[in-house]
Amino acid sequence: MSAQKHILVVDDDPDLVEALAMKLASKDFRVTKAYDGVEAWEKIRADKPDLMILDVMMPRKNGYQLCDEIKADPQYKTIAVILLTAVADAVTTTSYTHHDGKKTLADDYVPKPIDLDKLVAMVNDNL
Amino acid sequence: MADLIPLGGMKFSEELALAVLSADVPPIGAEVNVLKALAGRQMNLFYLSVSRSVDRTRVCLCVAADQIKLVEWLAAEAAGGLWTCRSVNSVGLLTFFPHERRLEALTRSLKLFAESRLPVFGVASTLSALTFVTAFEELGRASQRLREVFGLPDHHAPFAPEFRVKPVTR
Repeated sequence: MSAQKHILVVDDDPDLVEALAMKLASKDFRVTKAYDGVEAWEKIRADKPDLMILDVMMPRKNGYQLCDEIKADPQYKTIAVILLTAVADAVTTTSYTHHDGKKTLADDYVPKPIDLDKLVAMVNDNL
Repeated sequence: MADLIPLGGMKFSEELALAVLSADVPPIGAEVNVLKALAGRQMNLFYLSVSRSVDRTRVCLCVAADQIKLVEWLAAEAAGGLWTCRSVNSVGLLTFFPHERRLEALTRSLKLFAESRLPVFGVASTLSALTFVTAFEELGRASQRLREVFGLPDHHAPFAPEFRVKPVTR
């Protein structure tokens, strides 16, 4: 039997964090939660996850910054990162689109609104 | 003194305006028509609650402060004069999370708002968060008082909005 995989969910929308956590826990993942990029780093250092689901638009430290820092850190660069991109590509005044997310070193990308079953499949693919 | 209830975080909204729409014995789904009218104007609703009793329906919503006149107009004109609209300027949302389904998070915070004479224009609970609509200028005092009930992470400062998504008009 394989060990339970550990997922860290990071988003400043607490309801989305809770919904994702419930879905992943129902699939037998161990889930921890953080609500901004700074808190996420604290959680990573305290208990390194196997994979992160990471929002891009967050206070204190956005998802792009956190993803860059993780992927540049030899101790943590093996953590798989799935970025959640929130703003439609049609909104030209933002840098948080799905297109922008694809320029990062993240392992995969999901545009919101999220299809939870597809996200679980993506999590499994990246573990 | 009771134990602090642990929290993950707290956040403030920008300055908003509250509209309370009331209608006596409206037809089923009348509130949906109001919401469709607002959606047609691509208005962000930062807070929304709908309550319906036998003879009265009430819709409470918060919009950007500069959009309250439009809400009042839509309520009066576009929705066929069915609704009366009462508005409150300069309100703010104080949201804390996760409540982890603890009922005492609601009861203790409501008690504290009352003891502190902080206005509560609305309260809503979601899957993870508990939101109070209060006076915008009182957000700081409210968050300070709530720290008597809730334990926040070290060095946590309530998140204030850093960006606002607005539709682009071309």
